[in-house]
Order: sequence, then C-alpha cells, then structure tokens
Amino acid sequence: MSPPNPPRWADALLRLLCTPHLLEEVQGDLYERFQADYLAFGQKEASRRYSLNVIGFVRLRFGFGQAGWSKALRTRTHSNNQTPYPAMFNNYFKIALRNLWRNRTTSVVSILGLSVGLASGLVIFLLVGYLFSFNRYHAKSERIYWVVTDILNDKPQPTDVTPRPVGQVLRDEYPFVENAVRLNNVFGALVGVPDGKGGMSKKFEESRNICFTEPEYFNVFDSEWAAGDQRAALSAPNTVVLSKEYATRYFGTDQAIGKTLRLDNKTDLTVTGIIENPPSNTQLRYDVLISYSTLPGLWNDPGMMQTWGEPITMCWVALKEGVDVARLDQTLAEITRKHYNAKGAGMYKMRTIPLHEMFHMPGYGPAPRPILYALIVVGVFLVIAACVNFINLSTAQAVRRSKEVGVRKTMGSSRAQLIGQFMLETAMLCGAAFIMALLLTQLNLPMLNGALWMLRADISVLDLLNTHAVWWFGSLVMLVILLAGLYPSAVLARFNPVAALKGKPGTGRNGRFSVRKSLVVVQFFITQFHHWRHRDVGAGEAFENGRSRI
Amino acid sequence: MKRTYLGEFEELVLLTVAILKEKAYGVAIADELQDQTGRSANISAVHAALHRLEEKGMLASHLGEATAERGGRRKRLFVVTALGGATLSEIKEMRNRLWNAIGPDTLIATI
Repeated sequence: MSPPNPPRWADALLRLLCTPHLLEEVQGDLYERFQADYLAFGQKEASRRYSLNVIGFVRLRFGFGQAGWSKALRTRTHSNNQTPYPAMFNNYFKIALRNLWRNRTTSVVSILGLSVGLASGLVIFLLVGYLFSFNRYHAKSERIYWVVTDILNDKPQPTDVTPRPVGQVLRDEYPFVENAVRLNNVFGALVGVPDGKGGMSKKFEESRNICFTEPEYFNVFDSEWAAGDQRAALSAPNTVVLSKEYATRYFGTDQAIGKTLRLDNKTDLTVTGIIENPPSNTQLRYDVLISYSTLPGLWNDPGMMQTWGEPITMCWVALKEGVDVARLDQTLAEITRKHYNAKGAGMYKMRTIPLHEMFHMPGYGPAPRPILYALIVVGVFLVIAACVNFINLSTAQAVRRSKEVGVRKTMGSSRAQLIGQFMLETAMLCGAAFIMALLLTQLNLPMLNGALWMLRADISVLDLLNTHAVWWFGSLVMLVILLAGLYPSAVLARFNPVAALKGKPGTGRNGRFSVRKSLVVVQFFITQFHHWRHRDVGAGEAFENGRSRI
Repeated sequence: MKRTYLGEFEELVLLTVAILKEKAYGVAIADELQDQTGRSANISAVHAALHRLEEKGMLASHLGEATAERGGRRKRLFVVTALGGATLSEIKEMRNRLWNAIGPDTLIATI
C-alpha cells in the first residue's frame, strides 16, 4: 500500500498561504500530524483535519516576515536603517482607501465618468487596431503583390484580374519571383452533397467564399492546415480543400477527407484537405478552394491555360526578400509587350497592389488611412475629455484635504512626496476605472461586431493581450494616470501649511480658477469637435463598397 | 524593572519547550501541551507563538534533521534562551509573591 497522502489542493493552498521560508518546517509538522491522524482516525478525518490546519496557517502569512531567520542574517538585513519607504507607502495606501471610502459618492462618480470615457476610447482603438491588422498576418504579407490590369479604352477601366498565363510565366521564368498563384473567384455556385444513389442529400447556394486556385496558394498565403497533404492537395483536377466550418456544414464533421461534393450538379470534387477557419482580418476569405486544374474540364476548353486574351484570373505574387516592387512592374510591362500585338499592348496595362496596404487603398479596401487616423484622434479626444472631467472633480475636492496637507507639510513631508501620495490615489482610481472600462468595452463589442458583420468581425478585449496592443494600452494607462493625476496633486501639494491649518487654504485661488475654467472650455470644444466629426465620416458606406470589390 | 510581556499561551508554550529540552518542535510541543494541560492546541497557533517568542528573544531555533513521516522535511528545533529562562522564573517568583500576599486561608475558604 502506498503511504497515505494529504489532499493535494490543501498542499497547494498551503504553499499559497504560508511565508515561503517557513514552508518546509510548517509542511513537515503538518505531514507528521497527518500521519498520526491517519493511523488514529483514517484517511477522511485526517484529510479534514489537515485542511483545517492549513487554513489556520493564514496567520503566518502576515507579520512573520522575520520569523525563522537566523539572528545574524536578521541584523545583516536590517543594519542599514534606510528610509522606511514601504512603511510610508503603506500609509499612503491606507489613507487613500479611507479617503475614497469617505467621499464614496464622489469617488464613484469620478470612476464612472472616467471609465465611460475610457471605454469609448478603447472601443475606437480596438476597432482601429483591428482594421490595421487586415491581411498582415501572412508571413510574407510585406512581399505579396496583387497584379491587376487596367483596360485603356477612351476611359481607363480598372479590373482586378490578369490574363490567365501571367501567373505561370512569372513563376516559371523570373527568378526574383518567389512564388505566384492564380485564383478565380466564383460568384454563385451550387454545392451539393451526393447521397450515393445518384441524387443529392443536401444543396447549398454559395457565393464569394468559393474559388479555383493552385497548390501554390498555401505557399503564398498562410493557412493553418488541419488535415490532408498541403502540397498535393490541389494539384489534381476535381479536388477541393474545405475550411473546418464548411466541412462541418456539408458533412456534419470536419473529418471529411476523401468525401465527395458535386459542383453545379455536374462535376464531382474529392475533398483532399481541411484547413482551419480563416481569421476574420483577411480580405481573402475562402472556405471552399477547388483545384485550378479543374477549370479546363469544367468549361470544356482544354487550351484556356495558354490563351492570352482578356484579363480573366486573379494573380498574386510573392517576391523574394529584398526585391523591389519596381522590378515586378517593369517585368509586367515587358510581358505585355512580348505576348500582345501593338494594339493589345496599348490596351492592357498591368500594375501591382501591395497586399499589406490593400485594405487602406480606395477602391480595394474599406478603410482609408485618413479615416482611421481621424478615428484615433476622436478616441484620444474622448480620453482627454474624460481626464479633464476627472481633473475638475478632483481639484474641486482638493480643499477638503487641505488640513491633511498642512499637517503632512508641518511634519516634514516634501512637495514631491505629497505629489507622489496623491498620484498614488489617482492611480488607484484610474485602475478601478480601467477595470470598469474593460468591462464596459467587452459589453459593447457585440454591438460593434454586429455592425461589422460584413467583415465577420470578432473584436474582443482579449485583443489587448497581443504584444503590439499591450504596448499602446500600457502607455494609455500611464498617460491617463499622469494626465488625470498630475495637476490635482500639484494643486494639493501647493497649499501653504500655515494657511491650510488656519482653515483658509489656496493662496493661488485665482490661478486655479482660471485653469479649471479653461479646462471646461477644452471639454466643450472636444464635444463640439466630436459632434462635427461624426456627422462627417460616413464610414459604413465605405466598408460595404470595399468588401464587395473582392 | 522593564520586562517583555508574555501572554498566557506564550508562557505555556515556553514552559513546554523547556520540558522537551532538545526535542522541542511544532508538533511535539502541541502534543506535549495537550498531554500536560488537556487543551488541544492548533498547530498554527503553536507556530505563531513560537515565532513570536523567538522575535522577543526568549527562544532560539535551528533546523534539525529530516524524518520519513515528515516527507523528508526538516524540523525547526527550539531551545529556551537565557532571557526566556529568566523571564519564566521571574513570572514564577512574582506569582509566588502574590500567593504569599494572599495568605494561606483566604482563597481556600471561598472555594
């Protein structure tokens, strides 16, 4: 029989409760007691007593910082009597809590006001962060270019496609091209699931998220592969790769390799691969990827792959690292001259669009940079307005603290110390406000995501946890604390102790008044600005346009 | 004369440490206390008292050997310091003085 062991959760709790350097002896005593109890009362009772004893050791967490240290070590640690800074800090902390509690109504109003402002700012920043993240998650996103053709008639007509052989030629003949992939969108298709008896058990009308593409797709773009052979998956005709979501939609399971789909009631496709669902911040969302080599059979046109005719297929190029895009542009002009007669070469002009910037280009993406920058400005102003409001509330409160400041100054507190103390209070309030703001934000995001359903937006407060966001969110927190705390604490620390103790504080009353007045003016201005901006943006329309281009 | 204050429980613990001589550590003290006084003492209370007494300088401690039933953990062994001993005997003397002042018959008569 293995020796009996006390409950594991109690052990974990003990590690949490007990001062670390006392853990060994305490745990040893408890084990010994447990063994004795086990022999006397059995496992159950012994475990119960063990847990109770563990809880009793909470007391060793507090006030026993020095227990168990040798005397020599103790004197060594405490010989140089430095300023007992932690002690002062504890005092500030305690006084801060008492003050917040004494003026609890004002505290609650301040926190609520600040958190509503911060939440509005956060929603905007999260939205902008999301819109700036589009298409950038591909490892090669900075090197991927989309080749499009302008047809130069009397009036130039932009298209988003190229003549069919271009991708192949770029891939095969130009070494500075790392890879290229051709892709045909399908606007409207009927996907059926055969029932094995010649009929169809289910049918789905699909549009937009179906495409024909080459195996190179998975080399140029990042997709997380769930099942199947990534390299071979789309090489044969009549094969298809599904996203997990769509595999489940068609077959009721994502274990769909080898199963059959029927396209437009005539062509059977075999599932050769399953990918994870594409993220929401992509403009190339494809859930059903059919092999490109299916096309000639489907359209009954065996020679189509070599035909230099009208632009007809999308083409994406990944350049080798360090290659300038100008070289690709030159090459495209070369190719046009080589493969078309003079009339054709004069009519088709191919150019490139960078993938990582595409989302912000008018006509190719819904979020032009100026609008995003304007949104950031609005967010910053909202946060500033909230801070100004907070400053006004806390300076108005300052007079109440004048006696305390007087006493502290008389006892030798420096201005810097006082500012530090009041900054700590502000930091605590701001911390509470930020927690509230995060809650409010998370509660509001479903509405925002709902409004952005076209993009399948999935913005969440958890987006703040990625490295980039942690950086700006951290600076936002610091900035708000400084902005909201510096002025009120400076005002408080300025009180003349004699006047303050006599009960008529504020020698600089006029000065303070004017600052407060001007802050109110700033606030008013921001409200007006905000109003004007919102009337002007009209971003929703732009979103819909951009999405439908792809 | 100025003397560090000793609580009643602290005094009992200090005395128990003295009884156990070199074998005084948490569980042993708790057990001995129970045997001697009949009151069951919580181990954590004993530990807290021991550490408080050590801070007051009445006890000294060092880590002892590990045993199997402790899961290989060492125990902290306590001994009474000179200050501790002096304090104990002072308390006793003071009690005796008080008892003597009461006089032999007073209390027995009331019981």
